Amino acid sequence: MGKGYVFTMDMVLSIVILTVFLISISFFLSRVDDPYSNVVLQKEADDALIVLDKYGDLSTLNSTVIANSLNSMLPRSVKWNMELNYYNYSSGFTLAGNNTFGSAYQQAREVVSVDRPFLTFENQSIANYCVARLRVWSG
Amino acid sequence: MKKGMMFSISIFILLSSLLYLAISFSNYMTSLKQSTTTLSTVETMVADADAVEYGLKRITEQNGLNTTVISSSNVSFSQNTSYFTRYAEQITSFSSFISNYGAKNASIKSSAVNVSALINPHNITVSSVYGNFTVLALAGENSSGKITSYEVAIKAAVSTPRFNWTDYYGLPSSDPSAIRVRVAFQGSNGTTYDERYLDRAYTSRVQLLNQQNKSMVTISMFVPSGLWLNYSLDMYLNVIVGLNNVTKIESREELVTVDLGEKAKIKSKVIFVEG
Repeated sequence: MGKGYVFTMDMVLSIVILTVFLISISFFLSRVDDPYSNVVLQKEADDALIVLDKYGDLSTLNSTVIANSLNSMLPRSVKWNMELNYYNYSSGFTLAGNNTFGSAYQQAREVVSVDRPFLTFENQSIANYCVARLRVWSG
Repeated sequence: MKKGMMFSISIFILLSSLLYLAISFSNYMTSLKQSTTTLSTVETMVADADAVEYGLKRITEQNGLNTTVISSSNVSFSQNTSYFTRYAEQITSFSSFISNYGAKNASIKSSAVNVSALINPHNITVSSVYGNFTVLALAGENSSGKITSYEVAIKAAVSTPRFNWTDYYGLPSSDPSAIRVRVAFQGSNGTTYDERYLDRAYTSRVQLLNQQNKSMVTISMFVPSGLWLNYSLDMYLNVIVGLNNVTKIESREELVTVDLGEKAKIKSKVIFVEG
């Protein structure tokens, strides 16, 4: 009877330890973000900027055109914010203007930001030297 | 006593296993983090290189050499020779812009100010500096042997010149060694042209003479199947190289570098036309 009691206690104790261990791992994993999700977001943002640039949407500097294209390209679960800075060149670069549009990103938990330099032309000359900064996050 | 020992050992093994599992899990998470950082870095480098390549491509199309493929076989190069200075200035300012504002780890090779292109898969080089436009093929069936024709069209605000062949080696059009060469010039008093079938084994040369019998443009077709234009005036120039199966036209050199020091470095060419 005494021996059986000790064995039962031993088994219960080992089950408790194993359960605590599994719960700890589960809790830890739930707290850690999937590290690949940010890489996927970055890839999506980079691809979106490439398409916007090569289809000529970025060089319009028109927020409606760019917003429509972004909404059709990015998954609905992804929220975005675009910041355009454009410069003139005359013996040095001076900021000619900027434009920020899209969702507010300040409250987002983790934001992925990608940049792309691009050019606008007028009469075959460079009109503006620009940088597009696209911020994306899971909404 | 023996039972106690056995329990102690069992608990020790159990705790060791737990510790080993915890360490393995920690190592796995660390390696995962490192691999995602590496993936992110590579992604940024590739995106930066692409942005700079595309910027260079656009500047070249606008001011340097506009390249198009016609019917997937003939390659057309057009340029305004008065834009050379502007082209060089824009390449230089774009280079300065990307290193200060855009892709800070990217750089453009200084030789990007020289206009050049490589036609693949024939390995034919096209280069252009003010005063000279050259198409250079390698000897052999797969390079110079693939060139079937040249069409040169020039438009300039000068009196329409006359043609003067200083070296001429003609062949019947049916001869497999013949290359069709057509030169057209649109001047202030009309358009003139000359079309001949030349022997690719010899150098033929034609001058475009003005009313004072001075050469404004000299066009040489040299061995093996190369073309050289030497000129001394501002003009719009279009050269169509007759080929087949053009797959890609890119810059001759790797003009774009994205350098992260010892971590990683990529170099890439500018692709003007692909597909």
